[in-house]
Amino acid sequence: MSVSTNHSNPDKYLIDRVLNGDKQAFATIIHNTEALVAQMVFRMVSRAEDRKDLVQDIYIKVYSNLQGFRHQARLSTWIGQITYNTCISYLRKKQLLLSGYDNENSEEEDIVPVQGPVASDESDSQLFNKERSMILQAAMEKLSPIHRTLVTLYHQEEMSYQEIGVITGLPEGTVKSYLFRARKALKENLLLNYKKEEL
Amino acid sequence: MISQHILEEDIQLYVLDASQVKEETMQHLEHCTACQARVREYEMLFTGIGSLPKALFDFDVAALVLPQLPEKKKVSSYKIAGIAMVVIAAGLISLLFILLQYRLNELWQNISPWVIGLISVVAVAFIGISLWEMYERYRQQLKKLNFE
Ligand SMILES: [Zn+2]
Repeated sequence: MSVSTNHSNPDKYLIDRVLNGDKQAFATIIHNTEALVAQMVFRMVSRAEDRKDLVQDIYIKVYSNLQGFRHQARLSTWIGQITYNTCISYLRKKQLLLSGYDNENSEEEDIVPVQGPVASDESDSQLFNKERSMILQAAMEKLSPIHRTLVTLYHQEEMSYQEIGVITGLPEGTVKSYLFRARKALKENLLLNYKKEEL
Repeated sequence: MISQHILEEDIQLYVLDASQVKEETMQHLEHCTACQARVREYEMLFTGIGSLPKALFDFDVAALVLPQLPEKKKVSSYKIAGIAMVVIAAGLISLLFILLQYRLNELWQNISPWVIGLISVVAVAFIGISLWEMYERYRQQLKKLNFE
């Protein structure tokens, strides 16, 4: 009986195991959620050393608070929430919360996410796409950390406005209007870049 | 057909979910090449964002985190010990009563207020401590969740 219940709710099954002292189950939770945590942490925090500290901090918070998790949302959404709040308080401490748009020289050196090895024999179209991708990446870096995160969650992680609202604690209307402004800024920035290139 | 160009918001909405835009917006789009170009700009942008490389940690997160996890608090075992002590105490008191059953009436009349008083004090203290501990833990968890 309990086994079938466990399979129908894998989150609950894993959490129960962790609460019973099974640390390997917590490793599974990490493996299941670290992609989302990475996406968020990279979008909000540019310093690599700080990212390492933050990810530890996030998962220790997850572990310590797991007993209080009430399954109102998916486990990954709850972990996203902890990630967002942890990064926001980091940004607040470092006074970087409002960086972006008007603050273009904010620690950009190690901002590009880690990627897989680059193939050496790239075709012209791959190079063209790579160039575009770099321009877009640069435009993304000009957004504020919050706008950048919202864009990532919506357009890359394919989350709904409602889910993003749960993670960020922002009302759905605010999420929509931030996203509208972020997309508009991105588009304008890209157009400006393409025009510069054409000249 | 709308004579003015489509609002930026509606252009975005059209690209994200065309079924949500008004009929007149659709009609305008069919005829206006300028707005069609704006649609294409957003289509390119969204495709571009979707195909950006996803961020990944360049270290093993589980290997980093697992050794740092705090040991599970021993609170629960203290609690079990506390409950066990109360149960044993209650058992001993009951045993005392059984052993002295033949004098129960007498005992009841003579010392029961003291025994009842003692048991009450122990029980109230135990419940009080448990409640306080629960409240403290709840407060700490709230504090952690607010990430102050
Ligand atoms: Zn138009």
